[in-house]
Amino acid sequence: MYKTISAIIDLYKPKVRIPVSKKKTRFNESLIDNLDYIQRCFDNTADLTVHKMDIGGLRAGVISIDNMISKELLVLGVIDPLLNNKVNSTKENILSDIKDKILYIDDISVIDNFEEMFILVMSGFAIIAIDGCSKMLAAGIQGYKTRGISEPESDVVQRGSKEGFVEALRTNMTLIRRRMKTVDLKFEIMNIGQLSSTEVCLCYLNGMASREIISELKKRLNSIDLKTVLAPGYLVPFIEDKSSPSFFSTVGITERPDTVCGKISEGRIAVLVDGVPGALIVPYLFAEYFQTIDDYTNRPFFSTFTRWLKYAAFFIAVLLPGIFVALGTFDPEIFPTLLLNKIASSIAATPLSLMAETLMIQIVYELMRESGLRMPQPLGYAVSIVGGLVIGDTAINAGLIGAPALMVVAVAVISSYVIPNLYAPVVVLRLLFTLAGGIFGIWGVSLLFCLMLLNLCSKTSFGIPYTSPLSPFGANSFRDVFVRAGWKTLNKDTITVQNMPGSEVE
Amino acid sequence: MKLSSERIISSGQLFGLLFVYKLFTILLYPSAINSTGSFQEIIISLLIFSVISFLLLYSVIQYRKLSTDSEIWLINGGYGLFFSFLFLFHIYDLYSFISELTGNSFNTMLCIIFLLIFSIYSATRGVEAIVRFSSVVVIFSLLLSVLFVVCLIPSFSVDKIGLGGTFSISYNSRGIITLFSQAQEIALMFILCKKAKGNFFRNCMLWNIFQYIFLIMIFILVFGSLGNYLIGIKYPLFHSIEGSGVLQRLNAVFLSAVTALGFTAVTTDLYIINETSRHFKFRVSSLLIPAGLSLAAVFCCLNPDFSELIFQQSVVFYGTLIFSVIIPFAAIVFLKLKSVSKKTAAASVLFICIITVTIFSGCNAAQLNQRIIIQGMGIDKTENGYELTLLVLDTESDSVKNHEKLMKSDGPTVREAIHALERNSGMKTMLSQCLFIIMNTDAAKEYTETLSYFSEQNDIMKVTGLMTAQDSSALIEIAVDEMGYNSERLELLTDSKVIENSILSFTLFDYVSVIKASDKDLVFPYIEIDKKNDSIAVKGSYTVRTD
Repeated sequence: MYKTISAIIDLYKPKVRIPVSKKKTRFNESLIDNLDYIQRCFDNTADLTVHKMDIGGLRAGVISIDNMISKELLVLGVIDPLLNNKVNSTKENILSDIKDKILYIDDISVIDNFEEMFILVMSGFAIIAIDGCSKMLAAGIQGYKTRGISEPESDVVQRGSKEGFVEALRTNMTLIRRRMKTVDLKFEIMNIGQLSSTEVCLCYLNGMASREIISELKKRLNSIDLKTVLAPGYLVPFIEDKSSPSFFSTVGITERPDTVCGKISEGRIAVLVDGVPGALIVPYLFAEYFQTIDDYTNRPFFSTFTRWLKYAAFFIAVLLPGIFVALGTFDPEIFPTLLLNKIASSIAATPLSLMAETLMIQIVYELMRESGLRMPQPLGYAVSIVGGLVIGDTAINAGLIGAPALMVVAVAVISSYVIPNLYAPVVVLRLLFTLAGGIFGIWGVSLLFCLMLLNLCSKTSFGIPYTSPLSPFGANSFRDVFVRAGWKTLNKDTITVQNMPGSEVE
Repeated sequence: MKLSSERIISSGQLFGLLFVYKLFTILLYPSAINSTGSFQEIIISLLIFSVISFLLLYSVIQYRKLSTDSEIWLINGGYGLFFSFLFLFHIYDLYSFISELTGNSFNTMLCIIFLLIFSIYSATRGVEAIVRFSSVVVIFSLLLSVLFVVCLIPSFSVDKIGLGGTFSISYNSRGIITLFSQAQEIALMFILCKKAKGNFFRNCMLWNIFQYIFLIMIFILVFGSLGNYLIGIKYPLFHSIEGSGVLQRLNAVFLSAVTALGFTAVTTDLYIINETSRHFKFRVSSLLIPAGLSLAAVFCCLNPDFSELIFQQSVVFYGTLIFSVIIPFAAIVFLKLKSVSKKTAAASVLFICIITVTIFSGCNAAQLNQRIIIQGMGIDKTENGYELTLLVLDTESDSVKNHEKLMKSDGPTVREAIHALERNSGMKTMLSQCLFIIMNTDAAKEYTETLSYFSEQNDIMKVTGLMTAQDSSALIEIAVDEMGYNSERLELLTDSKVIENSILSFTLFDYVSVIKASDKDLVFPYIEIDKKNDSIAVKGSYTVRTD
């Protein structure tokens, strides 16, 4: 009967929303009032747990969220010491005595407002509230399950470390610290997202990173007014410099701690986001898309060769179908006779024009890629088999598409995987170049290429030209762009990103 | 704004140099265009150009040393209208170059409209972006120059490379001049602009150093070839290059390079005009009027079809004008009246422009399966005119070996016969793969009438072999249908047979050379069916006097 009445009363109690404003609501001295406020804020959520007990004759409660904490630590590190030790303190001293003499937990802090308490309790802290105290203790006993460190799937290297970032921010910070044992390495944590209050950590080397860029980055991050931050892509538009719309991003992303260490040692800043197995890197220049950690483990001559291969792959991935369509449609005389015969025979056998055919193959491929990516892995294999059979065999045999067009698109697609971080812009640009080539010929391809180039040149990343050190040209910086100089040369003088040619920052 | 008193060159003098440089570049065009018969003329043009280019470089460096950041605007401010002329010139230059190269003035016009739209957009990106972009374009030009030299090298070793395609040295030579002059102009412009951050001076110097290395390499190639000529090698460089068709592959490359440089030049001109109008009032100086007038005069003289652009355009021209200019402008007015935001209006207009122009461009190029790819042909002069027997690529054939078929056409002239074939089949002929032309003796006698059509075609290879026979139609039919010959095997007859201890060969290129020399005779290989060996063989020569 009492429970029913209580439930009805609860139903008509005003709901208290978890405050999202920056205004601080201080605790009451009454434990009952505090617990009541907390439970109303959480609206009696199922995972909120309150252990009530007596400590030194005072009513107390230990508040935590299920599964965010380690139950073992809660019992052995918090509840057991509190119940088994005699506490003979006054209300004024009890919190400091518990913190210093009773609890076996390292990460303990005293808090005085609900907003801070909410964030901590939802981050895996146990909150100890005592009747008559206007403050509470927050003990870090996080124990939620996290994924173990494994090799990053999209950032694979041949010889380097096999460790990749995981979702837990603290683990990621450790991965960086383990590789940079210097007092100059600095982590700064801030919370972003009105609802998610996601921890975002800036990571840089004092003395290497530009103070101007750091303060600008903080300013941009603080101005973010998002409700949630669930992936790095949420932050990118707020971090990028304001410039004309572009397919290319001026914020880099990596899943590798060793890459982050390399970047921050050149004066860049990494932004780690809790819940995301990766780091954003700023400032990020276009040339960096073509650099991988393998370049620095291989011998310079081979790294230089692979660099050039990547540049070639980028141009092939973007331009090859467009140029093929343009030449095949407008300037077929450029092909040697035998090749022309093959192309002409193939076009004669298919119902579509060269442009339509090339576009169709690209779109079908992207459909297959997208479906294979989202499907459960066993089904993904099935899609690959069906796709391979449909495109590779049936479509050609049925005379829907020609072998030369398929070959050209296949080479372009394979090339686009050589620089995986540029895949998204490359796909869209490839389609646009194919259209331009089919409508205007090689002229259209040239003009579109000029526009793409101008767009790249008009971009800056925190005041540093995106196309630096190609334009503006810097011979010294070139030692790690078109060639990869040996470590002895690279080590002679340190080039930081803010010293790149054309940089506006110091 | 005061100029430093220690300068050795004033803004007026620098302007004068810029003007002379442009004038010389334009004057080099005709020599380049007329250099169809001689590669030397390009070399001479480049030599003249390199001297002027160096003078200008030196002057600009001196001016740059002693000028302040914004003094570039003083040159433009004083002679700002010059850049308006230059802007128009660059647009027309690009138009004429591309329409000549592609032979499609309608598509070129659409391309120019697009270029203008994009240039206007690009000119608003700020000086930093433009300078960086220009710098990259110049570096790309540098790479294309390397490609050019690399493509020349194979010409030493072989006299004839079996490449198909357009062969027109005039466009390539004009392409070289345009490429070099515009790249230098752009490189100099951006080093003058000190406002842009970054060491663009280094980029400019890099370009200049490479430009001179390139020229030196060309000269080495020339002298190397001369050595070959002196020791009696039959195919010296000039002949080899002109006859080999190596350069024909570079048309698309030149088109790309000239487009990129033209786009950059137009964008730079627009930016300079806009920026100058913000800083200065245009002054009509004493230099400006003669400069502008002479530039316009040279321009008109060198382009006699200039008036055609304005007065004698087809309906297509006006259609394009309506759909790409009038409709978008009407849209601007409409959107303004509707008080739509500036950004939305700009996006809408750009969208309308692109959609209308794209629709009206009509993707009008003939697909490869809509082309008659001619591999070889026989021309018989009859009482009624000309009868053509064409050996064409059979794109519908499943067989790997037998992929050629015969087609026939006739008309009062060769041109008419080919047009009749196009009309009847609904397809477009393509001569770029034509390996040989066999004429009957009557057609060979009337060589001017017979071959004039081919000497005018840009897309035919100048290495196409010329032969004579009693009845070319019958010969080709027997050769293909009964003896299993294909075009490649027939082409071997053009130069593989030893007649009186010398190789007898005659190509379209030889024909053009002989016609120019006018004191030599035309000596065609004469072929006939060798019934004993069941083959076609060269049986001697057939001489036609050029008088």
